[in-house]
Order: sequence, then structure tokens, then C-alpha cells
Amino acid sequence: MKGTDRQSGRSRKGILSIRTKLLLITMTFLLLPWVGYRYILETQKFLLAGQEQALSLTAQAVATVLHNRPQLFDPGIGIPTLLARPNDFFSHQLDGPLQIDGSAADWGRVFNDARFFSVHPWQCNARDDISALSFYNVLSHFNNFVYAFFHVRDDVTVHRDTEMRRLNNSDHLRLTTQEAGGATRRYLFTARRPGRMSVYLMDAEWTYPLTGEPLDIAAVQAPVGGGYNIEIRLPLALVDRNTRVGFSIADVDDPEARQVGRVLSTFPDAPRPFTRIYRDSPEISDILRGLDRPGARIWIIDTERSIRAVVGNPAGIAAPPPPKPQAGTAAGRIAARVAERLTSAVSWLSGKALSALEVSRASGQGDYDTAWNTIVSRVLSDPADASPVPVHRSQTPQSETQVLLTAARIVSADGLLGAVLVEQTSGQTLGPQNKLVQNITVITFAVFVLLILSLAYFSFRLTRRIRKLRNASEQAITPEGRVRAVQIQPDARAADEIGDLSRGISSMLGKLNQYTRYLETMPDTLAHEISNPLNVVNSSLHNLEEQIPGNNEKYAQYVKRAQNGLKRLRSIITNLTEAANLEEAMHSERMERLNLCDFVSSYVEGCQVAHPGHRFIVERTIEAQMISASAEHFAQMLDKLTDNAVEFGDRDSPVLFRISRMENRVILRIINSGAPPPEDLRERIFDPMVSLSQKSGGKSHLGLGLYVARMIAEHHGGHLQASQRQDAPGAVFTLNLPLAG
Amino acid sequence: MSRTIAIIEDDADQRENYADALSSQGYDIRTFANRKDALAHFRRQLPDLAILDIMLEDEMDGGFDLCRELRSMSPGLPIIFLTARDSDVDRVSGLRLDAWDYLTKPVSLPFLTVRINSLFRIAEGIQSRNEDESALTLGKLRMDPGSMAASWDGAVLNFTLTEFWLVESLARKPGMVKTYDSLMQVTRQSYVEKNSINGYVRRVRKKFREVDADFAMIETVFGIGYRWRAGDG
Repeated sequence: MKGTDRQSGRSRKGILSIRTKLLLITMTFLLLPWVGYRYILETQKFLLAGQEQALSLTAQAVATVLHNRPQLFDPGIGIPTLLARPNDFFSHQLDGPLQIDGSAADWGRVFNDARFFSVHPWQCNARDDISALSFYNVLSHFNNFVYAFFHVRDDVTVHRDTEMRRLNNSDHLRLTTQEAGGATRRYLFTARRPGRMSVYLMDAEWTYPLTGEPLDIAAVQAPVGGGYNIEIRLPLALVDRNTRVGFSIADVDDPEARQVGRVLSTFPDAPRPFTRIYRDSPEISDILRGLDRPGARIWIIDTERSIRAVVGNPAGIAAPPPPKPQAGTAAGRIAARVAERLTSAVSWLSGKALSALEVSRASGQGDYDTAWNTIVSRVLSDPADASPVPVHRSQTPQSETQVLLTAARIVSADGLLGAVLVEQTSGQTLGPQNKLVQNITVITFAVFVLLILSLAYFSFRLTRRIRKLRNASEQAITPEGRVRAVQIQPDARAADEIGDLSRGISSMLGKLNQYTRYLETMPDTLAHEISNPLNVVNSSLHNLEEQIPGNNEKYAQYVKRAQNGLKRLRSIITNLTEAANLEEAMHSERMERLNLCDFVSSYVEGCQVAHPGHRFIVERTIEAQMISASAEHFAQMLDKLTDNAVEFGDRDSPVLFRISRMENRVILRIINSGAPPPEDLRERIFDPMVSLSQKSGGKSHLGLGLYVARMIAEHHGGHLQASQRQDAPGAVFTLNLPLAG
Repeated sequence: MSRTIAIIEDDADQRENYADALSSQGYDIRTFANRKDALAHFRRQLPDLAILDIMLEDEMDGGFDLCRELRSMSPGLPIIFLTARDSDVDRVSGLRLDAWDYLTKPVSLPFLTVRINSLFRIAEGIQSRNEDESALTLGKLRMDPGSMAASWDGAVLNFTLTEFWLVESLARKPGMVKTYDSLMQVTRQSYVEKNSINGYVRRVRKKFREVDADFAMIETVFGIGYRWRAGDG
């Protein structure tokens, strides 16, 4: 019974151990990164919305400043300026006229803003290098003149050969203008020697002049180290406000062949051959200058879409910082490399997350120029429409940064004057945000790993402690229910609940042990306590017997009966103490090798004498079977089984002792005819105080006989079992014993 | 002059019953309820025989202590333990103190009388140094019922009276089975069970083996009893 209980208890353990449960719970932490991602998304929305609003407000504020000031948009005002979008290009207002002498000295600080042109890297051949041809160019204006200054780096300077008809036989400067009507004019600036340059109107091939006479335009070439300078002064009439303008430097290196080698332009080759021109309204520029702020650019355009003023410079993505010098030690290098790997893995992860972000806000995104045109059309199309222009987002070709673009109308009493366009890169706000995402990803990942590890460790420790406790408490009690250890060691000092449990089990075991002791010593105590009064009765009876006068049969009979009663009482006590002391007695007894067959045979002979009214038969199919046993106790067990068979068996049919063998065990069956053991008692029949017999006079039935038999059988490593006889009504008691090695 | 028997027993009923039974046999009885009283009397006058209970009032081992003190006063005084304590430990403790017999309650008074008579006879025999004619020699075994002296191969065996009788009974009829019933008669105890006989035999064998590790003369006949092996052994 106990065995099966334990087994079923074990089998219940299974699918979901505490460890599994805890780990499952940990899985819910996977929600954290998702929550963080949602949070960032919301933050981003919020930030962008704020930025857009600020942008709108800026546009409207600038527009408000410019409202009702039509004089600022007067077409006659302003000077043309070259502009090569998307790059910035400014014409500088000068304080006075410049000396056309090929020297940059009087340009002052303006020259610091010179733009640099060179062969595009992707156009370089292997033999090319930047020093072969490149130039700096700066523009300024004063009154009705536009000044241009070029500082050209050229390894070989070739001057004009006047003998040749074609003009492109030397290093020269080209100016291309395209008027609003579409007419294109080409001007070539060339010099016979350092000094004043001649200017010609050229054909489409830049080869021959259209007219033989040079134009009256001031231009000077001056040699400098590594190249030459060109300074020109153009009348405004040549480049009025609707004219597109482009400069090129043509290079001739071979003084014999005099073929044009490379041509460097201020404008991209295609598809827009010329830069746009806008007229800078100085007053508007002055107003706007105060609004200049990093990361934003403000444009003012008039109703004809001409740009009247521009201020600011929207910063692109900052260039990556120069690589840090590597750490000196090898360990440092390895650590740095590991950190780098980790960072790159993490940034890949966060990049994934970010790209998801990008997709999420991709709506309304488009090409920068398209956005520009859309907004300008929208803002200029309908003067009556007073609704604010929505913020457009677009991608610049150079970077992945988004550009936010919005516009506001500038109106006067007469109608629309123009518009304000405000441009800002989203990197301004999203840059830190990307950093944030990356940081959060790293931190979340680290926290998650740490959490999983600590939970795994915690659950491992917990289950280990519980398992140890279970094992210890299981070991503390023998399968028979005896207390083996009063104190269990695991967690006895732990301060937590498991420690409490451990101490609880210990105290429980202690109490159980006390109780078991009490039960175990009870028969002895009882026997001892009963013996004394029994002795009083006994001795009193004896003394009484002595006093019986004469030979009184009747008195003597009563005394005899009283003595019989005493005898039975005594036998009960003996049986009780026998069972109680049996285990101890058996342990002190030495085991010896016995031949079971011979032993049973001789024992059965003895039975014949002890129970004269019964027949006993030994059936053995096998030869000597050696067992390891304590002969005296083994006989005691046979006594109990024989007593049982004699008591419940039929008097006329014999008691069979059948010995057989099964693998390495020997089986002894004691078979009797008569009433079979009741089915419901078969399991419990070997338990103490369970008796088969009805109460009958003469003999006491404490139900200890078969209990003692079982204890002895188990002490010998055997097993005792009661069953029904198959061939006839009766009982079979089967003893299954291991053979001695 | 009648012999004096001291009964030390804390239970008044039993004490008086013993006293009555034994005085009817002509013995002079002194009864004591505890160790202190008994010892006070013994210092003045020693009895011819003492019957001791082990537990005396509040002294768990009062009888053992008293036995030790009596033994120091008189090494040859017959002492019988009569007690309800039936464990081997107690028996061994009692016999280590040179008690002549160890009886467990309830005891039959006639048998107690027989024992007391025998012990007196043996005590006399020891004093007079008379060799009893009924002395027994069987191989290495030598037994003198008169002085309760037994030896195996010259080595002295310390038997209690009951053990002595048991061995003597087996050795008198070598080769013949003594049944449990007949052995119970020999022990002269009214309420002796098979197990008690087994216990006596176990202790006897142990005493033999203490002087001869190969001792195997007493054979168990399972289910019936014991016998002394025929032949010299």
C-alpha cells in the first residue's frame, strides 16, 4: 500500500516543474522591448508633430513680418545672384567697387566663402589628380556690376595664340547665359598673356567667335603659383533676373596641339545645364538674417517663383568623427573589437527596428524637388486660400535624413506677394531619437538576459533545494513508516519558507518519532505493568489454594479456572512483547546458510509431534536450496504459518509444504484445505491486530501471528502473500525467498 | 533454627503473599519495601537468602544496586531476582552481579519454594565441599548439581539455577529430544512459553561459546525442542 502511494506520488511529478513555470513567466518579459518600441514610436510622432508645428509657426511668423510690404518685392530691386541648387551659393554685397586686377586682396573675407570645384571623384581616371585642374570661385556685387573671382589650379598655363582663328586654343573661361525666352549666349574669356582678357561671343561649339570684335567687359588674368587667377566684372544687363548663368573653366595643357582637355563647370552636366538665378532683395535678406538658425533654411519667393532671399543652411547628417586611435594593449584591442562587434550587432538590431520606424512614417514622402514644386504650386496657386500649408516630408538624394518643408503666404492688400518656404532636416530631432532607440535596445537586451539568467539560477536553486528536502524527508522514514532520522539537514538553517518547511518537517519527524517510540514501548510497558498485578492475583490464588479446607473439589475447580485465565493473560502479554521485540532480536541474530528443503523436512517432522491430530506433507520438486537465515526465527515464522494452517484448515486433510524454484528465488507454499482467507482481508491479513478468526474461547487472537511471520519473512529479504487455493477450497500462503549467494 | 529469607519488593500485596507462602514453609521472613530499609537491616544482620525486585519505589535499578551491595557484604549469599522486567539486557545485568537466578513475574509460588529449597541445598553443598554422587561427566562437560558447578573442558561455566537445570536435563539423556513441554517442567516456572525456552537455550549456548567457540552439542529440533548431541563432540 505504502509503495503504491509513493509511486503514484512520484508519477504525478512531470510536465510543469517549477523551473519550467518560472521560465514561462519570464517569457512575458519579451513584451518589454515591444512596449519600448511602441513608446519610442509615440515619442517620435510627438516630436515630429512638434517640429512640424514649429516649422509652420516659423513660416507664418516670417510671412507675417513680410505682409503688406509690396515694395520689398518690386521687380526692379535686387541683383541677380548665381545659385546652384541644391548646393548653396551666395553673392555677396560689397561696400564699394573692386579693382579688376586678378588679385584677391581687395575681396577680403568674402573670399573665404569661395566655392571649390574639381573633377568629381567618380569622373577621375587613374592618371588624373585634383591638382591637374580645379578652381575656386566667388561672386559678389556692387551697384550695377557683378564681380566674379576664379582661382584656378592648373599644372600648365597656356596663353592664346593669336595666329590661330579658333579661340579655344588656350586656357579660358566660359560664361553661358540663358534668358527667360530660351536664347542662349556663350561668352569666352581668353588672354594672350597675363593681364587683360578679351571677351568674345561664341558659337555653340565654343570654337569661333560670332563677331570679330571683343566685348567691352573688364576681365584680368593673373598668374599665381600652381595656376592663375581670373577676375571679371559683368554688367547687370548681361545677367538680368530671369537669366540662368553658368561658368566653366576649359583647360588646354599642350602648347603645340592646343586641344581643349577637361572642362570644369559650376553646374552639373545634366540634366540642368545651368544654375538658377534669383534676385536677392537686400532688405528681405536683412530681415531674414536675424532669423538665421542652424539646421533650417528660409526662402522667400515672389509670385513668379523667383527666389528673392534665402537664409540659413540646413545641416545634413554630420560627418562621422575620425576613427579613434586603437588601444595600445592586445587585451584592450580585443575588448575594443568585442565591444565593436557587440555594438554593430546591436545597431543592426536597432537599425532593423528603425527601418520599421522609417516605413511607418513613409507616407507623404517623396523626392525633394517634387515636394518643393508641389508646395510652391500650392502656396502660389490660390491667393484666396488662407489655410495653412501642410508640412511635406521628403528625402534628400544625398542622405537618408528627411527634410521637412512647409510654406506660408505673404499677402498684402492687393493680393499675394509671395511665399515663405521653411526647410529643416528631421535629423535635428530624430538623430537623438535614433540614439535613444539604440540605447534602449541595448539596455533592454542586457536587462532581459540578466533577468533570464537570474531567474534561471533562482529557479534552479529553488527546485534543487526542494528536491533535496523531498529526498531527505523521504529518507527520514523507512518504507515501514519508522523514523530513521529526527533531523533533516537541507535548509535547516535557511531563513526563508523552505527553511521553515524543513524545520517543520524536522519537528514533525521528532513528534512522530516520539509517538512511534511510545507505541513501540507500549507493549513492554504494558507487559511490565500487567505482570505485577498478575503476580498479585497469582500468588493470592496460591495462598488461597493452601487455605482450602480438606479436599474441596469445588473450590479447587474455581482456583484452577482462575489460574487458566491467568495463563491466557500471560500468553497475550508474551505475544505482545514478542512482536514488539522481534525486530531488535532479529538484528542481534546471526544469519547462517541453511538448506531450505532439509530444514522444512525436519521441521515438518517436528510438527507431526507437536500437532498429533494433523497430517503434514512436504512436496519438493527440487534439490537442496540454500538460503541465508536465522534458523530460530525462520522456525518461528513456520510456527506461525503452521499454527494458522492448523487452526483454519480441515482436520482430516493434510497441510502441504510445497517447495519450488523460480529463477533465483525459492518459493515455499503452505497449503491447507478449508475456508479460504476472506478477499477483503488478504492485503491486511499480515498487518498487526488483524485476525481471521471469530472470537472463541480457549485461545487468544491478537492477530499478531501472521504479522510476526511477515516481519521475519521481510527480515530474510522475502515476501509473504496469502491467496485462495485453486484446486480446492482452502488457503495458500506463499513465501518468496531469495537464494543465498 | 529456621533460615531467614529477605524479600525486597515495593508492592505490598505481592510482598505479603510471598511472605505468607514462604513462612508456611517454615522460613523466617523479613520484608522490605525499599533499598534503604533493606540495607539498614542488612548492615546489622544478613539473611540466608534474598529475593529482590529490580524496580524499588522510585529507584529504577534499586534491585541491582542492592544486589551489588549485598554481594560486597557476602560473596556466597544466594540472591534471586524476581521481577516483571523481561528484557535480555536486564537478565544479563542481573546475572553479571552474580545473582543465582533470575525469575520473571508472574511466578508460581510452589515453584519458587522448590527453587529456594534447591538454592539452600546448593549453598550448603558449596560450604561443605561435598562432592555429590549425582555429579555428571559427559565428554568435556562436568556438572555438579550439589554445588551448581559446571565446567566445559575444564573452563568454569556460570549458569543460573534455571540454566543449570536446563543443561543438566539435556545432558542426562544425550541423543534424546527434550520437548518444549518437558523443558518447561525442568525450569520449574509455571508460565514459560516456547520463546522463553528458546531464550534460555540461546543464553546457554552463548555461555558455552564463550569458553569454546566451536561448541555445537545442543541441537535444535525445530518445532519440538532440543537435544544434547550423542557422542563425545
